[in-house]
Amino acid sequence: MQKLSFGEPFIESRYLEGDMGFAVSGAAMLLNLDEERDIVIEGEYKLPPLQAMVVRDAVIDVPGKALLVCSLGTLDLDDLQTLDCMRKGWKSNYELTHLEKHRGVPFFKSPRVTIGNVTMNFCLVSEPGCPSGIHREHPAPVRELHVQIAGEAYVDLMKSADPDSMYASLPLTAGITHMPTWNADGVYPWHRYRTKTRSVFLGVEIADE
Amino acid sequence: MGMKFSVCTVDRPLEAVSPFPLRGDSYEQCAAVAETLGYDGIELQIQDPSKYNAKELRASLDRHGLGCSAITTGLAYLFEGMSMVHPDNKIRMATVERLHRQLDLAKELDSQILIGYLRGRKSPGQTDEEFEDILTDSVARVLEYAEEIQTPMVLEQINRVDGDVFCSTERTMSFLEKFNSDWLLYNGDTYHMILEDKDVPTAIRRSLSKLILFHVSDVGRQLPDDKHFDFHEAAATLKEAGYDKWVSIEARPEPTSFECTRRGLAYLHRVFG
Repeated sequence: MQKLSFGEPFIESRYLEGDMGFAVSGAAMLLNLDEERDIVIEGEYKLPPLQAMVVRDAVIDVPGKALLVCSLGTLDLDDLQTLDCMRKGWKSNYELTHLEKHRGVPFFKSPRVTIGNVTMNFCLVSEPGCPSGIHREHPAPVRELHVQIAGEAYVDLMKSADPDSMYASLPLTAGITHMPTWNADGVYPWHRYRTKTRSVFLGVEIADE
Repeated sequence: MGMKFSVCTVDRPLEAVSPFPLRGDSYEQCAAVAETLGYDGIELQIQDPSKYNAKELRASLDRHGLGCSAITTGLAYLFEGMSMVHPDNKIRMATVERLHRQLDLAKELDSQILIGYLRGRKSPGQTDEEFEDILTDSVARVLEYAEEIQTPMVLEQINRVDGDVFCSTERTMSFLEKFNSDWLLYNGDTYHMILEDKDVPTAIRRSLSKLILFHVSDVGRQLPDDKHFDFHEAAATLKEAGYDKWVSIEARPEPTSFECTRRGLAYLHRVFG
């Protein structure tokens, strides 16, 4: 078990690898980062690869890799001081890219952490009804997941880069992620992340081993 | 002018048992949050100052309008086994040398170094006098450099469970006073006072000539909840004395780092403000 600091002071997280019989205290989001092996909760329920769920005061067996986001539910995105601190403590998209199209976009990102082939960061979207850019390419071949930590959101799938071509919406609520959106060849449909309420999500990119 | 409010911060992942409320991936990030909440300063846990760029740290604090209440040194004890009373003279001298570099960093930040755990523990069979003799030698070596660069070194009282000999305010102050130096100062800490000082207002008054940093921390290193200890009485004693230096929140980051940091400042404003 490795404690991580990339979400602090707002979000406490731990990386687990080959941790059998790990006791989770309180409510936490558990993300299975392994692409082959299930995580077993309380000896009976199986969390499949690349899926997430909320666990509470449970013993988990992690034969592969997992991320645990602790103190789930403590982040109050309706509290303006919390929002202010997150916006100051994390970097806006514009601060990170200096691209004109990102100026004023209410996406704020925590530092990134890379462990092996997995890179993660948290992202605050401080406005409801706010979409990310529509895209289907990624800088490198990765399996991309959005794990909802606070608030409600969607991952929308489109036929083209036109938002009116949306054909599916994968709802996200705190503690879960969507089904993989890539196909067997690693090709994605056009997609975007869109908030319903103010949200924090965990962006996960898994590269080839 | 009133007291200046600070919070203990750390820029690396530590378990919640470590009483540093404000956690982050960098001190820049901690400073941004502390500024937004309204703190006057932050306290930095520095294991090895050579890993930091002092001018960048200074610029970061300046950018956020914050002071540095102390450079705290105990991580070198926890993670490297350094100690000012280590039986191995080479380790003892390396610890002294490390503290010189901590002083350099503190000077750049217009701050002071805080020595708690790094002073070390008694060896098995060692008498209090032997422990004091060795610590006296190490303190003198660090103090000589502190005086040379005119940067304070601060010693913390530590209760008998976590430390040896210099547990009460009286015992710690007596030790400090024998060096007869304005650059050797005192850190009072309610967590230790609760356990070691029968009369806390008297202990605070005893320490005033050297008190430069006051840690606020309840039983079990929790945030104050007014159930275990009379923080109001401690605050009144400081106010009555016109104390206008640092008061810092040192508590476990519960329920979360952010909430602890925010509630800590609200408590300081309410009781010490």
